[in-house]
Amino acid sequence: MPAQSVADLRFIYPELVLAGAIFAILFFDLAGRGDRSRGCATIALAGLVGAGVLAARDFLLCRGAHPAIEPHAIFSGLLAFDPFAAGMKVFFAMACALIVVFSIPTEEAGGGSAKGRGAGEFYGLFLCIVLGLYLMAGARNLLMLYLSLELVSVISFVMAGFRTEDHKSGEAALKYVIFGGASSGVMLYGMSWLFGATGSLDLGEIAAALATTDSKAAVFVGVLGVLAGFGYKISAVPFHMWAPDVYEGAPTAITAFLSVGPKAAGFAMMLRFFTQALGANAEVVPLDLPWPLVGGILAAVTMTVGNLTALGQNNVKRMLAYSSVAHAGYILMGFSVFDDLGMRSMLFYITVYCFMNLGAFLVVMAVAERTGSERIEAFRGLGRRAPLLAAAMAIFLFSLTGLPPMAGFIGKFYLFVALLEKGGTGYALLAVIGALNSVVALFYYARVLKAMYLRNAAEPEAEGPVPVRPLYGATLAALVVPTVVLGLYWMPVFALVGESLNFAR
Amino acid sequence: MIRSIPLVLALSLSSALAWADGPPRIEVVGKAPVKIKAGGTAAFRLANTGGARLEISEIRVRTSEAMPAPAGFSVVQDEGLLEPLEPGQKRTVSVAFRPSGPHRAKQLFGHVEILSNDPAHRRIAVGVVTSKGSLLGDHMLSCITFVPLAGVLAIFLLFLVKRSSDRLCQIIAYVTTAISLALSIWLVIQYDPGFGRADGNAGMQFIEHSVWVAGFNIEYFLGVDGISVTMVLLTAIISFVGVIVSTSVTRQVPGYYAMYLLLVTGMFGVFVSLDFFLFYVFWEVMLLPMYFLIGIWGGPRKEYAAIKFFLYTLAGSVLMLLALILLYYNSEPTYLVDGRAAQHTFSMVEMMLNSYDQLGLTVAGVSMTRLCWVFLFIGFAIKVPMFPFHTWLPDAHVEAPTAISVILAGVLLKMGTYGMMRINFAILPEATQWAASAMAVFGVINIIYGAFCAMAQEDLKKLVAYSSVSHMGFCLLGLSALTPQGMNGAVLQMFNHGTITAMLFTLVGVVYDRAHTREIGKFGGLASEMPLYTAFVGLAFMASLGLPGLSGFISEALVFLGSFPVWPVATIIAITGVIITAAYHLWALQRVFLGKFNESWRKSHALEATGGKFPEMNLRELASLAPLAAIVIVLGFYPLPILNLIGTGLEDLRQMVVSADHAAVARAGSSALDLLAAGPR
Repeated sequence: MPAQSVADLRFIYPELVLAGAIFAILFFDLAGRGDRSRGCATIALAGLVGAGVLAARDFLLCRGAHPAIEPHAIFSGLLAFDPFAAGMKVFFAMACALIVVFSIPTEEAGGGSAKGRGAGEFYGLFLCIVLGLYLMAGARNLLMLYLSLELVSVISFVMAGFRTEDHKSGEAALKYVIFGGASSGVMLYGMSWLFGATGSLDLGEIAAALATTDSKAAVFVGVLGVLAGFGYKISAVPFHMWAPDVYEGAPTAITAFLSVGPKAAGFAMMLRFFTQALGANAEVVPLDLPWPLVGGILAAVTMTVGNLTALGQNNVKRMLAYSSVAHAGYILMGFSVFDDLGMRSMLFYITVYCFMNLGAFLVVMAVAERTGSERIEAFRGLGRRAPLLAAAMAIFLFSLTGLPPMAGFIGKFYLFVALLEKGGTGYALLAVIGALNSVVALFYYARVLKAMYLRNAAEPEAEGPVPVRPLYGATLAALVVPTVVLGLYWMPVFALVGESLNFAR
Repeated sequence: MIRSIPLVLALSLSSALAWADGPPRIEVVGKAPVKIKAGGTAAFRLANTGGARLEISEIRVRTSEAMPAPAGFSVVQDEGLLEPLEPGQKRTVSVAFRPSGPHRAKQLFGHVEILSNDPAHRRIAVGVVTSKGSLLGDHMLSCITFVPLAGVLAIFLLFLVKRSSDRLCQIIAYVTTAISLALSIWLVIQYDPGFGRADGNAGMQFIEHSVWVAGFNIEYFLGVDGISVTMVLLTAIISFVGVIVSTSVTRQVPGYYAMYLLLVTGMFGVFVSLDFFLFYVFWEVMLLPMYFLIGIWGGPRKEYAAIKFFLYTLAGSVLMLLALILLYYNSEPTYLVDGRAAQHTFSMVEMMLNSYDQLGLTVAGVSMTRLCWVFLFIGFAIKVPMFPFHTWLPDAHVEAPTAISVILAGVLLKMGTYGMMRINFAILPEATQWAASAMAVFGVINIIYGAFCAMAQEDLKKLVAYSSVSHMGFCLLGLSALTPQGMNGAVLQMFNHGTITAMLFTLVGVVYDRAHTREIGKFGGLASEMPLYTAFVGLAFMASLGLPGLSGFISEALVFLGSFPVWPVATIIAITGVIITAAYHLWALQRVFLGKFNESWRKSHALEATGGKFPEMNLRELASLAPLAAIVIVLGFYPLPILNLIGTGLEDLRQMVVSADHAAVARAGSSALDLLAAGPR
């Protein structure tokens, strides 16, 4: 067995590169002198690019590039080597590299402070989370599922409280810990029920055991418990309470990350768990458990609560937090369908959501950097003070609303397509709820638009132009372009997403 | 594709004995679609790339009674055309397109179907399209639609290099809308009014048809029939006039014109799209500039008005989106323009061929077609705006800058009724019959309620806004009758109302620019101050209230003629609306222009520059009003040019709706054209 494990190392090159980068950052931070934030960021960026490239290679290999490798389980079934994991890893590398670029000279990354302290910790911990996300994408054993999820959670707690001098940051971290602890407790409890009912921790073996077991209730309770853990990661109602405080309190780069990374990883885990362990995408669902109903209710409640609470928010970060809850609800619509198209549309939406949401947070960061505020008032008159920044924000917000010709529309379109193609009254009702929710969402996104374009700056002295750093400009362009292009020509990406839906058995 | 693999495997296994080296496999060699010139021939090659002999049973032009191929499109019956093909063998198939018949199709977008014994492709299609090889010849509608967008890009680029002076942006707006207007007039001249569904191409002309997103069967499909060509003309006129009116905008001018031109592109796009997905994209693209145009350049309550407009319209369009998906997934397999097989289709023309009602599908116990119809109808009714979805309109109109009010009333409202005809009527005819009576009732409510609301207004602009609600009710009533006169009247009313309200809003803008108020009660005796202006207002009001000899009368009269045999009671009630309409127009005219001049104006702040006198209309204002006034007068005496344009396309549409009901009630009355032809000219 050890020999096999050593041989399996060649399937986790991306993770190894990340681990190497973490050590490199720690050593560099210890050994280097002066402002080390840029050095640390460069190492982190290099590590992420390396991991991303290697993951892309894995993706090609399991797709049948030469020499083709069949998707299979590695490390005695703990992890999976398949297009799905590899695809998610590429996605994480991309998103996280953008966030590293965001965070380069901000206060919390150490760039602005006197001795550049904290940069090593910041980027080191950040890469640890990315490592956790990679493991989440590949985990195919309940234990591994739990461990990788906790790896991400525990470090997220630290990152959320990174601004030690800021009370809000500390409060956010504490709330995060408490909610995280509670939901992972419930998750563990659910896992124990599942283990009791099936006698195994391996997702594949659980599926085999479910075929013969008759303890339907135990499985149902177990899965509901596990869903609590997933729900916490994707910030679905009622496990979303942490999101607004954490989003508001955490450094903006981390907020942007939390709204995309762990959420996508949570959905990835959810997809793998439900397809592999429960066979929810099969024609005949084992034990005939009502997953579509659970998913549908979760989706409807999550998007409605998220959108309605977002209406009254005055802090843009907090508003985007609730909007990200609502978006989790939209994605869950795909989950409630749970066929091939449903899963594809979920993954496609996550991809699109990554671009538009990161973009919106980047603009918030750029504005906060100049005005020192994240409230809606800080956006007043932005249309004249920084026309391009405001235009980019408008594009992201329209995309988040789901208006053509932006990518968000195509994402939402496919989710509706998945619902309506499946047919049936329940799905049609869910589609109507989802459609009306987009209208509600428009209202609070439009508040930012209104501040940017229809209002003048609150104080006359704030009326001057808002300069944008070239680095932000470039990153913004890198996010605006896909947000628009994917709205007009999305088939290649949609096809890639479809190909990545291939799980190791 | 993946799903069909097991099927293919099973089929090939079952015939493995017959086909030792695999089954026959038909393939089309060369580029798809096949290009052909009108009057010429073209060829493509068939090849058998399989392992057994390929039997070809038929090669034919795809045509049907519901959607005939253009006359003169045929497969050349060479000798040995249907001989079997041995493995590896190839054969050239020639097709000819020699337009014939009274109305010759200038274009061809057809398919040649080939039936063979290839087990995987029993029936394949090859797309055959014409191309003139010139930009305007092939892409007329794209040019009209996207020239304004090019203006947006030009303004944006100038902005990036910091050269976007107000004057330059205005010139760009003038030039681009003028090009679109010139092309639209050329389009109308070139348009063959007699060309109908029976002549091929589903009665569409100036077609542009290519694949946009092959994986999801979305096509770039543009084309116009009589209804849309009229609307394109209206859009071109109104958007050009709108630029003239826009001169009063002084703040953030480059942004204003960028948004304005984006809006114009969206409007043209809606009227020329024949792919439902494309239609939806254009429909939504219009929302964004409208929000900013009202919100940034509007009046005191602009924010409220802008978001209200946005929310109302979006609520309607998300319902439309759901209906769009439902219709897509229940459409039958067909081909894309290049001959690729498509499981479902977004093409409105293909959707018309589907009989959705016969699928008998239900959602939550309600017939799927009726549900779709209602969803679509709400989406369009909000735009019309139909009672009770009309409340956004007065707010939007009052707050919007003059030019945007002109566009809003002149073109945007027509999109609602246009959408109903193009989509509700054409794709879901059975449900249209089911809902026609409700439409009539809502139409009458609109007429009466809008008129009474208009009477109560103190703000001149709000009065005009409510008069729009009232007048769009005539369109609804006319459409619901499903008679030739009623529907012709409705479309003519769309055009006439577009020109008349554009005039009215421009005129309100003229007086607002001088007095900075629109309150009717504050004026009086203006006729002595501004006689020319008074004359124009009088003309516009008379046209709006339906004075015989002006364009509004013809369309209203046609609507009543058409709807009376079908909905007598509703029509009688609606006619009383005309009296109320006359009342509020004349009353307003009297209060503003007649009587004694309000002397307090002499010392008014607003008129300081002119020494307390109302200056007469200037040349620019005259230039924006004169063409509209000319159209109103000419169409009042001689509406045939527009009626001719609409006629064939509308009659085809009407037949589609009426004949869907097999026990169709024979409806009395001859066509509107005959009626007018009989009368004195």
